[in-house]
Amino acid sequence: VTDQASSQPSVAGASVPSAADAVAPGAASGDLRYADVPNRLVAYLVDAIILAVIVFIGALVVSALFGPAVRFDLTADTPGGRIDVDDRLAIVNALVGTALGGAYFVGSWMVLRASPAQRLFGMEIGHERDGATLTLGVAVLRWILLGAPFGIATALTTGLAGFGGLLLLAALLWYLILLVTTARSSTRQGLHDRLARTVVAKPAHAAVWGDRPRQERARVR
Amino acid sequence: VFADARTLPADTTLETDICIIGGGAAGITLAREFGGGPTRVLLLESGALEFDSDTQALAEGPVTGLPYFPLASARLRMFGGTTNHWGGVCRPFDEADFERREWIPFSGWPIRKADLDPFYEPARVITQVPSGDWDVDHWADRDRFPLLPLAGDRIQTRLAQLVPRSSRSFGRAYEEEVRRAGNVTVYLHANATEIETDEAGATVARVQAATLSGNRFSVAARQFVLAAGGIENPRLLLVSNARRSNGLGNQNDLVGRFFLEHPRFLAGMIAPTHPHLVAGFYDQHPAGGGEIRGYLAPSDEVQRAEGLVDIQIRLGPVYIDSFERAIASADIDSAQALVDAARRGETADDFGRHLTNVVDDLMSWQAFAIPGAPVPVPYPEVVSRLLRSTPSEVESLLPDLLGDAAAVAYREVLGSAPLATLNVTPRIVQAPNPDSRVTLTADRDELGLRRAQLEWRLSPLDKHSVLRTMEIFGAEIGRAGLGRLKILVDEDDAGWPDDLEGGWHHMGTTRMSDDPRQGVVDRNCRVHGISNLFVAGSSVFPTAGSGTPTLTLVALALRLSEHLKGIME
Repeated sequence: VTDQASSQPSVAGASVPSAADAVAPGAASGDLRYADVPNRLVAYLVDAIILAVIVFIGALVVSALFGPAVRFDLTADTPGGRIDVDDRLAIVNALVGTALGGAYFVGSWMVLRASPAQRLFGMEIGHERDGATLTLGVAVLRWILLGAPFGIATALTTGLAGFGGLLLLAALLWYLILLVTTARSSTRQGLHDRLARTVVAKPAHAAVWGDRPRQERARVR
Repeated sequence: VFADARTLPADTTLETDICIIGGGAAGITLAREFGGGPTRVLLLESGALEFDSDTQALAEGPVTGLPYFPLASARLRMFGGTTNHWGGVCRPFDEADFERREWIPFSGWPIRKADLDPFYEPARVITQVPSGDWDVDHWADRDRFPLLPLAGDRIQTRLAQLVPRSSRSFGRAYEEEVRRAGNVTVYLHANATEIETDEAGATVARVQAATLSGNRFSVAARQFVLAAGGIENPRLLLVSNARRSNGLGNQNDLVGRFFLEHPRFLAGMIAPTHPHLVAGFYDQHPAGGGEIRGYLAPSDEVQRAEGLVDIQIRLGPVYIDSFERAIASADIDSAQALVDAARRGETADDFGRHLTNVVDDLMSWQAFAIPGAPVPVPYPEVVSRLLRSTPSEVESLLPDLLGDAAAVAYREVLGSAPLATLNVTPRIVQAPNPDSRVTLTADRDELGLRRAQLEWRLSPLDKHSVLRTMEIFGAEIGRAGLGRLKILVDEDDAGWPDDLEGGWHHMGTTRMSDDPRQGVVDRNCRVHGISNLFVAGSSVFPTAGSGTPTLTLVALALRLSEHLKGIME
C-alpha cells in the first residue's frame, strides 16, 4: 500500500482517501466516506437474494437440460429413500451456481463499479490505491475471497460424514472474520479488501437516507 | 457398615437383633429405619455394590405357563436390588385396591388404605418421587398437554410420577447412609440358603448363608425379615423344609401361589379423527418439574357394574412413517447421548461419532439446497413438489427435508407430530389366581438350592375385562369425536396375544391375609405360625393394585419397621 494521503485519487468524481490515512473509523475525507458496515451488510444480503433468484433460474435450466436433480418417491419406506439427489447433477448445479455468482459480482464490479445492491445503496468499489475500476484479476480474487468456493466444496463433499457441518462452520467463521476485520478497519477494508487491495466507498453526493444528518432527514420527510 | 461375607471365618455364627434377607427397596428401607438406634441390624445381600454375573446366575430358573422374561433378568441380585434397573414409575394404590370385590375371587386386603396412608408420604420421600400431589387436576393445570376431552365419567384419567433416573437406585441413594450407620451391618456376597426353625417350627433360630467362594456361616437373631423379592421370598420359604416338608409358612399350600403381574399387550388402535389429536398427557412426559404419565381407566362404578378387574389404558402415539423413522433414528439417539452426558458433566462415549451424526442431521437441508447459491435456495424440484402438496403432505416431508432433529423439534413445539394411530395398551390388574405360582425345580443352583420355577397364569376374567374395557373406551372415544377404536382382542380365542408381557412386577407369592388358610402372612407381615419371621416386599400383596408396586412396598416396609420397633421395645 502506498501512502499518498496528499494525493486524493478520484472515484466517480469524488476523491478516495488512501487506506493508510490516519482517520477515525469510517470518517469522511473530503466529499467521500468509506462505506459503513451496516449498509454493506444489507447490500450484500440484497445481492444474495437477487443472486439466489438467478441461481434458481439456472437450476431450472439445468433441470430442463439434464433432468431433475431431486426425485421424490413417497412410497419408499426406507430412511432417506424417499428423496434422492443426483450427485452428478448437484455438481453441475454447483458449477453453474458458482459461475453465475462469479458473473454477477465480477461483472458488476467491473462494469458498474459496484454490485447492483451496492449501487442501490450508493456505494462504489475501486482499487485502494487510486480508486480505479477493478481489473478482472482483482475482481475474481475479491469474489473468491468473498466465499465463492464454499458452494462447490459443499457439492463435492455431499455424503461425506461431518463435512456439511464443517463447511458451514468454516463459511460462518470466514464471514465473521470478514465482518470483524471490516468493522475494525479505519478504511472499512475487511480481509478480502486488504488482500485484493480494494476499497468500498460512498461518495457524499450519493449518500442515502441513513447517512443524512438528522435535520436533513427531517426536511426530507 | 459394609462387610464382605467371603472374609468370615468358616461356620461363624453372627448374632444380631434383626436379620434382614435382601438389600432391595424393602430391605434397605427397613435397615434405614433402625439406623442410628439401639437395635442391631444385619442385612444379608446376595450380591455386591456392583453387578456380578455369577451371583446373578443364582436367579436363573425355568418359566412355564404364559411367556415371561427370563427370571435372571427380571430382577437383580446386588445392593439396591431391582431398583438398579427400575423404570421409576410410581403411583400409590387406591382405596378400591384394598377392598374385597365380590366379582374378583381372592380379592381384598386385611388392611385398608387408611392403614397405609401415614406411610405413603414418607415412602414417597424415600423413593424420591418428586411431588406429593397425586391429583390429576393439579397436574393437568400445570401441563402443556390437555386431558382427553371425554364426555361423562365412565373413563377417568389417572396419573403416575416418575422418579428421576439418577435417583432410582436405592443402592446408590442410600449406600453412604448405610455405611455410616454403626448399628447396621450389610454383609455382601451373603446368600441366605435356609431359614432354620426350632423343633416345633414355630420360631426361627437362625438363617444359614453361603458365599459363592464356598464360605458358609449363619445368623442368629431375635427377628427375621425376608425381603428378597416376589420370587426369592417363596423360594427361600419352600427350600427351608428341614422341619416341615412343605417349607415354612406353607401349611396351607399357599407359598408361591397367587403370583401376580401387571400384564399388558397391544389391544387396540385408535384412528384419530384429526392427525394432531394431542394425547401427550398419556405418554411419558416432563411436567411440573418432574416427569409424569397419564392413564385412562374405567371408573370404579363401571368396574362394579360390569364386574371387571381394573384396567389402565396407556396411549402410545404412532406417528406417520417419516416422523416415526426420524424419532427412532440413530441421529436422535446420538443427540440424546450427548445431552445425557453433558447433564452428567461428562463427555459421551464415542463422542466423535455422536457429534458427526448430529451435525450431519442438522445439515440435512443442505442436500436439497442448490450448491453455489449465497443463501439456501431449494432445488426447483423441491419447490415444485411442495407447491403441489397438501399441507399434510408437506408436513410428512419435513423430516426428509430438514432432518430428524427438526422433526423432533416440530413435535415438541406443537405437542404432537402428525399421528397415524394411537396404540392402546391395557395394563391389567390381574385377578389373583392360585394356579399362577412359583415352585421349585429339581435342578439346583451353585449353592445347592433348588431353583425357582415360574408358572404365570391369567384368568378368563382378566381377558373379559380387557375386552369390555376396550368396548367402553371405544364408545367413549367415538362419542367424543376423537376417533375410532379398532379392538384387537378376540375373546373367543382361548389364548393370549403373542405380545403379552409383564411389567417386571412380582407380587402375591406370600400373600397377606388374617386367615392362615387364605394367606401366608398376617396383616403385620408376619408369617402365620412363626413368631419371628416377617416378609417385606410386594410378595405380600394380595392383589396387584392399580398403582405400581415400589411405593406401596416401601410404605409397607415402613409400617413393618414400626411394628418391629414395638416388638423390640
